Amino acid sequence: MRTRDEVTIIVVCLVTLAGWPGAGRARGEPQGAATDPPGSSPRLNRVWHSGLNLRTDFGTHPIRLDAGVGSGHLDLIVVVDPMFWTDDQFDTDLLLDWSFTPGWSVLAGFRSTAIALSDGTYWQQKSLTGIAGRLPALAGGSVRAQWGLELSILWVKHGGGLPVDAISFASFRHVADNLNFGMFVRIEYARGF
Amino acid sequence: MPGQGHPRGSPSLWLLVCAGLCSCWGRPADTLVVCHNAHCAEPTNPFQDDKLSSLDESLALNYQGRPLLDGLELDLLWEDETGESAGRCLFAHDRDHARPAVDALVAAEVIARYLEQPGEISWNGEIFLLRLELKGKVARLQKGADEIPALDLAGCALDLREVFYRAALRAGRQIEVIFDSSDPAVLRSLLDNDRFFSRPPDGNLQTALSADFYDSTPSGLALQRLRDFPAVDDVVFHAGWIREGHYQLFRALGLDLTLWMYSATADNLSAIERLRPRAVLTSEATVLRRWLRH
Repeated sequence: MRTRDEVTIIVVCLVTLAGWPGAGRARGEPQGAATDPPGSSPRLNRVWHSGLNLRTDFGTHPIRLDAGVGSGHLDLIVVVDPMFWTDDQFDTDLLLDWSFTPGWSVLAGFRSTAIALSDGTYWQQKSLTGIAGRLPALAGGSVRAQWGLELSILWVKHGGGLPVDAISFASFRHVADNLNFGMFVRIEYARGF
Repeated sequence: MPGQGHPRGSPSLWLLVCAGLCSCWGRPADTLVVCHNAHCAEPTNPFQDDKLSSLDESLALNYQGRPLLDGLELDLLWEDETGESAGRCLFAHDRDHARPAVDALVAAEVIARYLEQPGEISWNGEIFLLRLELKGKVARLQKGADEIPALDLAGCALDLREVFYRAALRAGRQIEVIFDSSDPAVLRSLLDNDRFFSRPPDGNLQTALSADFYDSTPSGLALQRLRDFPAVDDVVFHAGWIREGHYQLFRALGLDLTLWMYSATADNLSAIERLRPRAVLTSEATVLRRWLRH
């Protein structure tokens, strides 16, 4: 593995570990956590959260950082890509997560991918839809996790002095690579405000 | 409260997990760029694959004063016998878009002229790859389960190799002809033809066999088994349609890896970084060259 990859991984992991269970306990219990049934994720009325967005498929880099704010059933999430400097590819997600029943939610959003070429930047714009489920929380609800399945659809590629390439449904061969399923896990620190 | 009393995670364990997730990241600059279906001049349109006009445009691609490609793939499709002929070997991708199609030998002559032109003919400056995909399944669908079309197709492919070889010999070029099929019977029919062995490797020509892991299911599992193929030198696959086990096996056997894609998406580019194939078959050769050069 390349040296710069190791440095990235170590930095990301250390930053995250700094807020792991001990830190969560020190900051106290989020709003609403005491009213949730045992084993479920706490229902937070207004929270901010930040953590890791992890995946093993090829959709994005395996480790990204997400942050967001939630109120009631809605959660607005931004995901950024600290591993961009390993290959000059950067994925940014903007997601709206709607919890339709305790522990489960649907999400929709947008992913913009910037890919550095030898003399320019190539952009790929995708829509995201998916479903997600809460995993058991840790540290009294301060550290929580979510598993999700997403469908990304690549609608248009542009930039870098290349022709604009929009999705076509003319045949399977035209569209096959534009549709991709992926799975992710989010592990984050959450706190009410 | 939930979570209380859980042991604190070991930082070293987390670091190990994270490191495992992103091993070998970075662009493999020496990956060869091979033109998919003889059509890799943007904008892409699969309906224009394997046409003479697309072939001409693709061979004319250049970047930074050099030929953009390291190689080219042609599809060979056997046309069923008609009242007028006993069958034709076409330069075409599939039956639905085979009209108008030309005989594969016509496309081979275009490539032979390219090999003989003065100056560099490949980005790498050493070798030009010529992949011949033998569309065995289409041939079988048209003529039934017998192997006669496969034999005919193999003969056609060997005719093309001879055209390429003579051009390479005249021009002092080094080429590698890779016979590729998703149907093991088609590759075996090549080996059954004595002409396959008539051109041993020399300074102008290398010959290789490639197993094409094209056949996929909606679940994304390639159906082929490598043991059904004759011994091959190369495997060609779509990154989204094979499993980790396939990849590890290919690596363990020391096979050349060729990744193909419909579209140069971020997913496929990430797969190139992780799987590090010898060559990539793409319809967006300019994007890929510029991506590799960055």
